[in-house]
Amino acid sequence: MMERKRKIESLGFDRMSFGYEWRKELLHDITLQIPLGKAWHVEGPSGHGQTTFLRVLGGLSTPTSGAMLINGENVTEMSFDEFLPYRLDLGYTFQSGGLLSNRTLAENMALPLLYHKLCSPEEAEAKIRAYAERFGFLNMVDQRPAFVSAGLRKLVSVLRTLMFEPSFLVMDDPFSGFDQQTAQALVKYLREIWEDGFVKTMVFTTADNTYVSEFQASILRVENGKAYLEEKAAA
Amino acid sequence: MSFLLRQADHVGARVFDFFAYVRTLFFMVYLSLRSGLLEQTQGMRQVVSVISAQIYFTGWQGLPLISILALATGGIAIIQSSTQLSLLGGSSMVGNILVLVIVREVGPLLTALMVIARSGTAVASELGTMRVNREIEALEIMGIQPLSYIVFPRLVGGVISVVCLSFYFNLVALLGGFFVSKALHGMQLSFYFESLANAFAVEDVWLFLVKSVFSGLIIFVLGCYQGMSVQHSSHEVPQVTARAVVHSIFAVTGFNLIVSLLSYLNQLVRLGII
Repeated sequence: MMERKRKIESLGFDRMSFGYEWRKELLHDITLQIPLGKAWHVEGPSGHGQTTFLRVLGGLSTPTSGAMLINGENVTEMSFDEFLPYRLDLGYTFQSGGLLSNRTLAENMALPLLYHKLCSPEEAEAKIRAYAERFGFLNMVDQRPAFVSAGLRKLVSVLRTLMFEPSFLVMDDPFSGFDQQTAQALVKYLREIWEDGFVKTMVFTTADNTYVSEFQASILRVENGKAYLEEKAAA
Repeated sequence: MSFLLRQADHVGARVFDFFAYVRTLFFMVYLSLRSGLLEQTQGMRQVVSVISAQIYFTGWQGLPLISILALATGGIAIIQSSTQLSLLGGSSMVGNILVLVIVREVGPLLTALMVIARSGTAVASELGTMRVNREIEALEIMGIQPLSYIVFPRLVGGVISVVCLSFYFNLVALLGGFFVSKALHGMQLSFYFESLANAFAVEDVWLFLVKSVFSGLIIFVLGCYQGMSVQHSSHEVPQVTARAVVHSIFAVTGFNLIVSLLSYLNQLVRLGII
């Protein structure tokens, strides 16, 4: 499966617009190339479409007009299977939810690895064990999401995405909802994989500027339906 | 005049909506079968585990209820028919009555209605809740096609379960019928089975299979479609569940009626009546 993953070498939008039934054109006519190899903090006033922008960027929402271009290809018109090689290199983490409720935490984490045959069941188990030990939830891995805290659910959801080793990571408010210790552990781990270079580009939202400076993130402003880059790192 | 035009417009729009709905359901079946069978290069083991879970829930866990229902139905059918037949001196026709009533009609229909009540509702509400909790979107971001991981296994597991449950229903109902016959009229096992064997025709097997397979398909397509149609909020879940039940009952009874009607007309043609 690994060979089916196609590396993202460029990503951008060409006159992309997106709207909901109840709010037409929340994002309007955006043409933007996101420079890779950097961390980007998506900023803007509440309700101006930061999460929506991330959803389009993560391939969860299809633009209502215009194009999303990956390696020069218009992925907007691709079928699920055509987009799959790019999707496997494009990680997305939810602000909340996203775990399958009828599977245990371990089964949730193992599902993409086993489904795409990225490793054997034994290797997947060892990998999950290593993550669980590192983040201190080894005794909870056989629990279903309903029986663990919201923070742990979110952590597992984020870790499941990271297990894919995507080079382009889109995260919607990844550091909220945790206790200080878990948040620090997650930041530390993200820094490691950032420095190791398997995650090359990171686009995220957060209300806490500490995390922005932690990754020396530049600003990607989403405001009044537009998105533009501010190269200067956030304070 | 304008009132009539408005009414005609309204009816026409409803008819177009209905055909668009049916077309969407066919399209969903086609896409899920295609993604499940043809494009399923990954994760077949995972899909098989979902199919097994569906068979366990719909088929295995439905057995106690089906057993009671089948025994009662077989018993009632035989009490009513044998009383009338013995008055007319036609006890040997008991097999024909049972095959006509149980195997052809009541077995597949009652099984389907029971599956709608237990599993159609469960599938619609489960998928609706999965939509609200972003579980379907989570599958997409993991590169797992929801049609092949969510819909396809439920269709396959559901159809297998309905066919097996219908077969089991018939078996138990016919056995129940025998015990009642034995208790009421002291009917011998050999006579009972001979009567049944003489009544069975290949057409009965076909009718049974067509009704069971398509009833299963209808129930689970509607359950999946309604569940997947939830957009944003949990208050939509009970609404789509109720819709799935109502649509399934209409569709399954309508389908069974049409198949029985066609079979009846076919018999009339064969007998040269029409």
